[in-house]
Amino acid sequence: MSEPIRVENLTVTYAVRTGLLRSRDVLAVDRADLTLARGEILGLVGESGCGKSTLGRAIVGHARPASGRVLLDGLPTPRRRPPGMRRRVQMIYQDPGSSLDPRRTVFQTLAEPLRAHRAVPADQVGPRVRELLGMVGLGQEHLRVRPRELSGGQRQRVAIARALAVEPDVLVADEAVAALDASVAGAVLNLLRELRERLGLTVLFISHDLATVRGLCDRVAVMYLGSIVEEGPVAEIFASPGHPYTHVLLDAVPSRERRRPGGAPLGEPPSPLHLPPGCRFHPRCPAAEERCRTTAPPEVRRGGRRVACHLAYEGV
Amino acid sequence: MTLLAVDELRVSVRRRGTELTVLDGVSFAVGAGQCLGIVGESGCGKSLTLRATMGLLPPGATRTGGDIRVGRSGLAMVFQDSHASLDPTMRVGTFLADVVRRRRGGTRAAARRQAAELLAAVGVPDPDLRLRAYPHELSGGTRQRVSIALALATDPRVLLCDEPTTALDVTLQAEILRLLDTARAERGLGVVLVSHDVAVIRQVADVVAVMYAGQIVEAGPAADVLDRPQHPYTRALIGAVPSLDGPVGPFRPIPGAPPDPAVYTPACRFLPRCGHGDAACRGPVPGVHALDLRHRSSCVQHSTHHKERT
Repeated sequence: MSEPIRVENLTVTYAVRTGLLRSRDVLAVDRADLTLARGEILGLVGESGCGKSTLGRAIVGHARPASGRVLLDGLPTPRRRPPGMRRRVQMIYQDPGSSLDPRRTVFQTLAEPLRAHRAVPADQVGPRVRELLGMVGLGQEHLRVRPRELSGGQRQRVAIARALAVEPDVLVADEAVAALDASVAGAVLNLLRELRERLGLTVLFISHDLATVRGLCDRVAVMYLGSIVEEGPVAEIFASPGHPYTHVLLDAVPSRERRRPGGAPLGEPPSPLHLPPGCRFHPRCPAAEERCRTTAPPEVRRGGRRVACHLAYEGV
Repeated sequence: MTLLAVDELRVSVRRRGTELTVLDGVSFAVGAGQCLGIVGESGCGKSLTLRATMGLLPPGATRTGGDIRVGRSGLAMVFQDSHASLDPTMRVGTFLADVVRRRRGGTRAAARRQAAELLAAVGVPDPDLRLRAYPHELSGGTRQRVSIALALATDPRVLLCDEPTTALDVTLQAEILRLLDTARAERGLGVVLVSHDVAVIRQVADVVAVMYAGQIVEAGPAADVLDRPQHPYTRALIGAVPSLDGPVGPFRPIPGAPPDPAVYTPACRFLPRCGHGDAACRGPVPGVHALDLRHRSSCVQHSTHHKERT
């Protein structure tokens, strides 16, 4: 069986104004390869502006590839996806306050995609909405309620229920719990896990929070300035990061258990308008050598992991 | 030496014609070179505590009681949204030099020089270049550094920081936290850091106050509160944060939600979400302050829990 999501050599560009009349294309995603296996939760991490959201949007079909392609179940997606294909990949966002229509009740919000996609016969819309609510842990009392009467966690549950309404194979969650307190986020994250178990849902979990990714995901992909620099099983990568960037990121994460010494200051990433030559991370890399400044690093694959770094696995 | 002492702070807000007490007897003190971390969920009153201390209460909120003693020193505040402390229509340098000059006097040129020094001190690269930038031209991390420089420009003795790193990437978060820590150590500043994130508080605070529903429910030295929490809320709050080192398991959210200020009572406000309550929790519970370094909790059960666990 083929993978629900396969991204091949995908490039997405944005036009950015650089002067009064001039504009330039900026590489948001640069020749990215990524595969999601059925029922797996893959974490996509990196700093703001690294292209992780754009990659997520391209997978959902909201961002148009400049080159490369996205395959769903082994089938290449056309520029305009037919509704049946669109249905299969759904997205949830950071702020359900703004992705939910404030004037609609929860019932209306959940019934709308069912009707639009004719997911169930008209007389089954009501029962299906109730079933969806139950699935995300909300009760019947929430049916007639509008988003502003719900808490942040409840709103995110409604957004997840809406995404599930059309029975997608894949859920792309873009910073889905970033606006929630940890005390509330945990319940939403446990729900994602449970849905994966029960529905065999495949999840791309885009996040800047590495501790959450460690707790939720099976694999993790690390993005830097548009490229995936490392990918592999979460436990292995957290235990022994292969890319210096992953190392630096992990060093910066605060721990609830202890004070962490922290690494050398990293400074800010270069502008995507002026990408450095060679390895893009070299200006900030504590281990950079001469070849890193001139030559793009090869992608080294080993045992289910890949690292784009000249120094990967050297001396091992 | 105590730089700031807040005693029995009470704040109320007006909602639909009724006054609701949202801060209920909050007391804490900060000494020179000390960092007090205030932690709690959204809506617990931690940001309001800072704003009331600074005298910057939002419209509709009033201080109805309590003493705020600020020694000879001044207070300065750093916000989550660094846009809030900068003027979008002014170049960073003009604004910063104005503040320096108003505070310290001297010539324009001297103020400008000091502004550049301040930016360098908070780790802004190319300070002379950045002085000519407008706030929107700066990245989020640099802008937060500039707003810290701005706060330092008034030579405060205490820095009040309201979720200063929440909008930033982890790499920048670590750097800003280190910057605050350096300012504390080198200038002997008192720092009050408000955050919803236990892990952030753990990185820099010497003393921790845990707030719930408008009150401090546990306070004491950071290591005591975070390693040997007495209040079930503190334990739940720490447990809810995903661990970076421990075994991986299900997430541990706190069931239920904090109470609405309209139903605040003298009883334990965490009781409905707590698994350990009994009749004693329905009576008035003791208030907790963070005026000294003793470890205290408002939980009337905590001594029994302690026995259970040991």
